[in-house]
Amino acid sequence: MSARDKNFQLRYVGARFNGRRLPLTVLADLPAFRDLIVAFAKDKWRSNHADKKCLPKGFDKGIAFDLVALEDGSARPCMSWRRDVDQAALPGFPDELEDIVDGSFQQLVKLIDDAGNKSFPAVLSAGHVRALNKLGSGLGEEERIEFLGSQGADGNVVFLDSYRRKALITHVRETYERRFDSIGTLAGYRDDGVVFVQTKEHGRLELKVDASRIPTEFDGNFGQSVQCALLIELDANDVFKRVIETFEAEVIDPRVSDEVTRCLQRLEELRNLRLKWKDESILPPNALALASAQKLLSERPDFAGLFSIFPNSEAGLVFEFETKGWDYSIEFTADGSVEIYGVEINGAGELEAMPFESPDSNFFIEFDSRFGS
Amino acid sequence: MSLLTDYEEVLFRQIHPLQIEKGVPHSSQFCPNPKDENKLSVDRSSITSASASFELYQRLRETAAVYGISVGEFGAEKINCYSDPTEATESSPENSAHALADFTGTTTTRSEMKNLAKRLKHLAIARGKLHPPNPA
Repeated sequence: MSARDKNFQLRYVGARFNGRRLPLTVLADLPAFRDLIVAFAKDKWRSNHADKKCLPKGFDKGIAFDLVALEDGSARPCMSWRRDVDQAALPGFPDELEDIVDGSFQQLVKLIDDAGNKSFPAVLSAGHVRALNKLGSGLGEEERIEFLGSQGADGNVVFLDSYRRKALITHVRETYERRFDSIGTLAGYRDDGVVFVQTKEHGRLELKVDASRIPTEFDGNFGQSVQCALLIELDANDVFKRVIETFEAEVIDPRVSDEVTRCLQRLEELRNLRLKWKDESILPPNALALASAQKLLSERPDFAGLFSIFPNSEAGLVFEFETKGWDYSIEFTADGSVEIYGVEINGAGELEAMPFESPDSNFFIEFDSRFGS
Repeated sequence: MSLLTDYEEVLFRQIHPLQIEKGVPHSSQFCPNPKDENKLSVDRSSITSASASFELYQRLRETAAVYGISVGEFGAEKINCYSDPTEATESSPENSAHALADFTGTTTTRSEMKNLAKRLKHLAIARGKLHPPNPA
């Protein structure tokens, strides 16, 4: 970095970002952040130069960011705009471009802060919406991105969360995009590289995959479970519209698939107790507990065969299982948090409850180290 | 209520149908719920049989199986057991075999209670299901 470089820093807040962790699934946020800055910068330049029809050659390339640090605490990626190098692509406007980029960052945070106060722009360009649809698409319910150095109307740092994101995008467009991870059932395929997966959440989805995978991975596997990670388009009421991108679509081993199905059916059985339950000692699991449990099954399907699944008295769920000489429980509570505890079966060993805010990356690190091969 | 002192006496515990999967009961069935004031309901084998205990319980609530833990096994975990016969009411029949396993003071946290329940579950599993018999 040189003295002339300009830095922008984001702070990811949420349990899975603790310990300077930035999951690869959110890395796409960084170019999206840059694209949003550029979208504002283009507007500003056009506004400053109403007499010119086109942007100067190299304008886009002149605003290139590098990831230069990931600082401690909750993950804080620091991006640097290499002014000396990149403005070689855009000679003649150094000071003006710096002002434009500064102003663009301010406009970006104002746009998001306003959305938090239910104030929305009448229109946004396609470039803005495209970048917004990428920025924060992988954020969970309790997560947010803070724009360090910014200050909102309430005096606090401005942040983007899934609520603001959805409100902002669906105010100017009918739909928005977000990441979707689930396990569905293979309902069909086409030889040209399309597979159909029936999901509980969004019905039958059409996924594009490499055509060479159809005969080797999907042919003959009708009805098997498919683990998917997708970018999908939803409307303002969260009604599914289409699959934008398929990050992952893998048929699960049939034996594992049967066990995943058994677990999912058990969860469904417990969910449906809602209408007929009469025993006061047990409450049917709530949506947060069910979602957390489904996430574990979705991300670690190979373990499904171990799990016995039970309701508890507090609207949560318990996965009880034995492995490596221990009897463990993973308890999904009604507030979405998770804990692991257990005892040694033929010994005095005891694991006191280890709490996690959610089935986040820290939880899976512990899960893998304790239960993995 | 009188303290049970025959360490060999097995105390019957009913398992809710939803709390048994793959033929194994959930450990939560072997400790009191938070609202149970640290006392677990059981029936005494010196007064009733596993099948009679099962049938009596079914008049009020659902049960899928009977497991047992002895007074001595409870005692090894510092859990005292007391006879607690109940009289008939408008909503429930008399149960002269009813007893309570008192978990008061055994643990300091809910987490410890859950692990204690696991240890008791393994004792009950080692003894085996007491009723109904498995199909031949």
